[in-house]
Amino acid sequence: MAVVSKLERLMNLVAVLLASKHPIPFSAIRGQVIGYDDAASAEALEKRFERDKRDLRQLAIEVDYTDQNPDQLGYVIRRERVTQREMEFTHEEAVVLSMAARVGQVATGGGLLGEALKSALRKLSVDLPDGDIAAEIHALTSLRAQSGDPGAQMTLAALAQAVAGSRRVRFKYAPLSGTAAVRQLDPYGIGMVRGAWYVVGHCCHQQEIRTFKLARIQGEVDLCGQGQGPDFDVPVEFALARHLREEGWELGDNKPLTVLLRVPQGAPTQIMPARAAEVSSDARGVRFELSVRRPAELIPWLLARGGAVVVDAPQSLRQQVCEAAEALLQTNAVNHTIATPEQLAASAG
Amino acid sequence: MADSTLETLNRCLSLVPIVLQHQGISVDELAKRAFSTREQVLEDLSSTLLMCGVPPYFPHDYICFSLEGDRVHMAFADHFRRPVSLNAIEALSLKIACESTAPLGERPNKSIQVLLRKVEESMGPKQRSLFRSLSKRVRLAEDAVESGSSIQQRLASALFDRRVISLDYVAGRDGVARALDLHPYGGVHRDGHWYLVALVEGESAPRFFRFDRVRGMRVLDRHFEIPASLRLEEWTRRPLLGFEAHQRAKVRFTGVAARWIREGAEAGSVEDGADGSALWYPQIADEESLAKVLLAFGGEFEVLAPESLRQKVQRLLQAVLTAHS
Repeated sequence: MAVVSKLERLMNLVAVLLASKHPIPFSAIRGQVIGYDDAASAEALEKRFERDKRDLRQLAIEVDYTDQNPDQLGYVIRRERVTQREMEFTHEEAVVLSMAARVGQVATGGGLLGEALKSALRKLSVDLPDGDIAAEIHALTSLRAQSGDPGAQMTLAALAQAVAGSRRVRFKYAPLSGTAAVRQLDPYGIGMVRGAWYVVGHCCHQQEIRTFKLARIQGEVDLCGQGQGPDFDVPVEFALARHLREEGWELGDNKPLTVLLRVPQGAPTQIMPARAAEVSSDARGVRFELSVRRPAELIPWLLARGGAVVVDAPQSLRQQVCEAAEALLQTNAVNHTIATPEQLAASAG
Repeated sequence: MADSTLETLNRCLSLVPIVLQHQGISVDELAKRAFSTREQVLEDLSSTLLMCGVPPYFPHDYICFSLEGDRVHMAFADHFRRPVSLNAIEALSLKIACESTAPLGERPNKSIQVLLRKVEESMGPKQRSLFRSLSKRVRLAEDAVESGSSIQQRLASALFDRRVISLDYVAGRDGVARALDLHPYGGVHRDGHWYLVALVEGESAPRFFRFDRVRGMRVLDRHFEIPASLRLEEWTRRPLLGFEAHQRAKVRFTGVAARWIREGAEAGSVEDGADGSALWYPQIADEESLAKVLLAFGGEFEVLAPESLRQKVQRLLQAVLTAHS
């Protein structure tokens, strides 16, 4: 017998297990089901079967072994647990699904979540009534888009599954500074901040809760251990939002430092970070206090304000801002050779 | 699901129930329902599904499909009558997409909530449980409107009623407040901020206004119509810094900043330099705003072109030094 493709083998395996009213022993699969009828050894066929079961689990198709009835030992796919129950959609719900399809790519950020959305809508469409409702979609008045960084898409699926199942994971992580190292993590949650995905969990090496950027994970995310989990309990006091702060200067565990910032008279105060608290106002401007754990992370934000926000204290940060501005001024000095528009167009493709 | 075999299997297992439920469906309609192409559907039907059967593999043990003209029929596939339950990630994606259209400052309406509950109940017990766990432990972008709830509510009302608004708005490029009469077409949340897509009266094309730069708002007693061609979803992809950005800048990032730009820049806009640097080619529409974006990335960059952008960066840095002197 020729070896058939994996796709054909998996289709046949699912078909035979779904079609049977009784459990099927592996002896009735080996040599009988196309894809398990080639000249491979019994051990190789068994390993193939185990791999197939694992792959099918990724599609939410669980192949279970049942030994409840001694006369009927074997493998089953429990239809009631694996297949989607019948649904009736109202017209309004069908419009919502149609709208979800229309905005899906931008709403999910595309990539893995975009493909998962298509798959979800494909499965639901079996119960959708006939007729074209796309024309009935009313104009949108608001839309939330997830940009999603492309580098994160590869690992998002594995981490989302691990978060959902409370499974310990292992991955190689390249921090922004320092060398890449293997980390073991109990992932408590995942979240997106300004278009970038992060996973938060208990780092087994550092023995504390840490946040990792998915785009900096190198290679695959592997589950630790062979069991089904859960491998850990999420502490009741854990709050994901507390670990997904939006500003770099708020991150980390350093002792908070109070920075005194001033918006000069006449400049708009709306540009101040949401967590900055106004403390005083006089002829020189409006003063704000901001709690900062990583003062260096505040410097780029201050440079981008172009002098519209001034550091009054501490003096050390004020000095660092000036040094950073002077260094960049030197790099971007006036007498530098600037590319011509033709050179620029050629290099930009 | 990186494995393309599993993707195909997943697609095929969803295709069969659609045909069984809608015998005689046209190939085009099937492709539309399956988020696929006509060619892909025909390939799936003829190459994959026709090979599938159960022992003892007599002719009627194989899935059989027929094309009558452009109409698809299927037989001997009853074991595939129902699609596989949504898995937790699929359900999460659906939730995100459905909730993404909730009006400003409001929770998803009742029909969205009922729909999502219905979908959740249709799932297999294990996937349902995983989905519930995942929903609690996945946090997406902050859905807050920074400039205050009263503006948010009045804006939502103006959007719904198609009423002209008068906005006191602080432009990002010069920090100067201006009063503008606008036709608000919609609100878009992207990259952590809410933006209003609106047409300034007297201008020919709509543009973005960031909510946190709104200082005040009045709803006027005039109405407008949204152009039929406007698609809010297209505005989630437009460059924030401008609309007719034909020219690109060239900026070299080194050190840690090179990592940042590789991670965060629009796909295809970054090249690797020979010395480990990263060359970024952002679109330019508003040089002042782009200069601020560059400075906000933090350290170690050099504007290679155009000269005018380089000068903008210099002016901003000089202003920082003057303010701190």
